[in-house]
Amino acid sequence: MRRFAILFVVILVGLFAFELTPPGQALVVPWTGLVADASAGLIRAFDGDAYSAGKSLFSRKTGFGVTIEAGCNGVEAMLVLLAGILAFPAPWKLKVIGLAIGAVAIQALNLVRIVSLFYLGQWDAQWFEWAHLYIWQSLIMLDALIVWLLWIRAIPRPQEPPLPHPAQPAAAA
Amino acid sequence: MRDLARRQVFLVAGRALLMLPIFLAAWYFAGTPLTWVPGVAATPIVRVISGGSVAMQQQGRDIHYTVKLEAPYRPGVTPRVAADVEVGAAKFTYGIALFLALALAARESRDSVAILICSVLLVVLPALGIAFDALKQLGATPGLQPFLGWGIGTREGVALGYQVGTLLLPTLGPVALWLVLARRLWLPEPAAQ
Repeated sequence: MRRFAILFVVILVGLFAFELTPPGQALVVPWTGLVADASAGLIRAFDGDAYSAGKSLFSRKTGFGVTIEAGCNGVEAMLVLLAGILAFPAPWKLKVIGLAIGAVAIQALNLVRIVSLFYLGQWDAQWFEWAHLYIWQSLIMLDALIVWLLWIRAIPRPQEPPLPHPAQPAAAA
Repeated sequence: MRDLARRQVFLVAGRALLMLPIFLAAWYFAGTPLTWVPGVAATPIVRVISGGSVAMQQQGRDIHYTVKLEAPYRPGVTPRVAADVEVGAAKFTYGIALFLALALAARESRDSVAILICSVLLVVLPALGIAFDALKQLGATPGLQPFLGWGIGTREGVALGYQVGTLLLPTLGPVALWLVLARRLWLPEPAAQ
């Protein structure tokens, strides 16, 4: 467990530091724009009242808008999952599968978060703040945790080394 | 066997989801001590990194720091300045609710002494986020740079500390502590031959 914990922290801090660099931001900013586009598309599919501009999402009817900032684009939860999967001893094929499924699970729930916050914000500012700052942050991390636990349970368990047979003569040195 | 393991994960998650609103409500009503303790614990961090003297005041779930800074000594004059920053502590302290929901959701982590120790840690842990939020605000205040004297390394360190303290620690801290408590749930056991 110690090896996993150290590797996890090193990888996570490295990924977080990279996220802050210009190359990291060159990936994160367009991604956040895509999240805003996808959220607007999802809302339009139901009531046709949203459009996105950059990383913001607006309502045509009320003029209400939300901006998707760091922490709301699902990137941090994906980095935590990435660090958790990379740090855990497992075959590379399973790591790639775990990451792919985890990314979809996190981003799918993140879309639900943004759409729900978009409607909550138009309804009640206090509920919006609660859901935004406390409830959804917890739920997204729980999502990453569930994916990681399920992934760990899917890894074949390491085999115990066979015990020497009592009748077997000791090997000569 | 795998279905059983999967079911166990979903059961823990389901129970945690049911308990989370209860513990979030409890956290909300315990706001004053849960704000004061990390606010006090953050004060020396702000003092060391800013290089000034720091006074803390609590107002509800907000913490105010008054930071008094001095520019490097020049003959005949020592410029001084005082800056006020306000940090909303609630966005750093709610992780204890997530931890308690997870800890009681899994049989493997229901150890009252360990839960108490982890809870104490989670009351103090938000100090990092609070301190770096205050430091980020100080760094962004126009005219303070000559008094702070931060190099590029310190500025980048404060930016990283703020990101980690705001986006990661409030939720990752409780989850990490729970994983330590519930390690029997996830640490691989060797398969029998």
